[in-house]
Amino acid sequence: MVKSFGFLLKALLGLGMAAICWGAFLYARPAQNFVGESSRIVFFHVPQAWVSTLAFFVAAWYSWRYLRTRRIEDDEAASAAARLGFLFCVLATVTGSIFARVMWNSYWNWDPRETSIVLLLLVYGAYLGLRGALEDPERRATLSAAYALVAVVTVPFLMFAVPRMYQSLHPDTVINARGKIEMSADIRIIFFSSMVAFMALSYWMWNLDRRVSRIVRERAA
Amino acid sequence: MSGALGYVAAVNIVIWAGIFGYLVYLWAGIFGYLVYLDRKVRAASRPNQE
Repeated sequence: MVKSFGFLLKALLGLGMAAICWGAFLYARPAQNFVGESSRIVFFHVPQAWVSTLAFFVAAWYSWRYLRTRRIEDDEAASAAARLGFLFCVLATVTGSIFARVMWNSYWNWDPRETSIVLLLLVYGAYLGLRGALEDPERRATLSAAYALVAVVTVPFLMFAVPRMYQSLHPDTVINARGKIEMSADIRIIFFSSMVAFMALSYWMWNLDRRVSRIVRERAA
Repeated sequence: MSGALGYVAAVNIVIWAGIFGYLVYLWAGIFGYLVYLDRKVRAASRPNQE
């Protein structure tokens, strides 16, 4: 029953993401005040950034759990989430850079949003570096859990506060300064479907990573 | 005039179909790889569950 439910969810994800690719280019109309068709990147760029933020919070949650319980499974869950967050953060940076090239004729402008995402990549790059540098599993788990709890403090600041504190070339956030989501119906349906699909995809990848870590640990024992 | 519009429309369709097709193939590749990994991990963890 559980297995067939999982199969159904994966099949839905496979078809759903293909439908989102179709909808992003052939159904949704380009938004106003953007150069050409550049606004279509919102269907991929924003969900990637959102998933990466979520993953960093998940990493912090499991790090906190590890420090309380000392269960190695929690450390594996935290490191899988941090890796996933880093991957999606890189993807968000690349897609954002492509958007910048179309909108402002330059891949990189050191805009506050671009600068803050680079800082976030450095913070979590250091987390992965720290894990790679320590061989003793217990010491690695403890130090990286403590680091993840400090690192997560920067996430709301860099992802949400900085872009609102400084003048930026970056378009309005999804929930704008007036507290509203101003999207046409066709954009809204593809956008929120994409958010759900990216979260489902990242959950699957996170789960896979945890299962691989468990197998590696069991085989090493 | 209508010939020029038809030409522009045809070029647009070809470009968008190309981008859409490219994205779907990319997604199919990622999805196929994840399914492959999933099956492999399931198979690898099976003896330990017994």
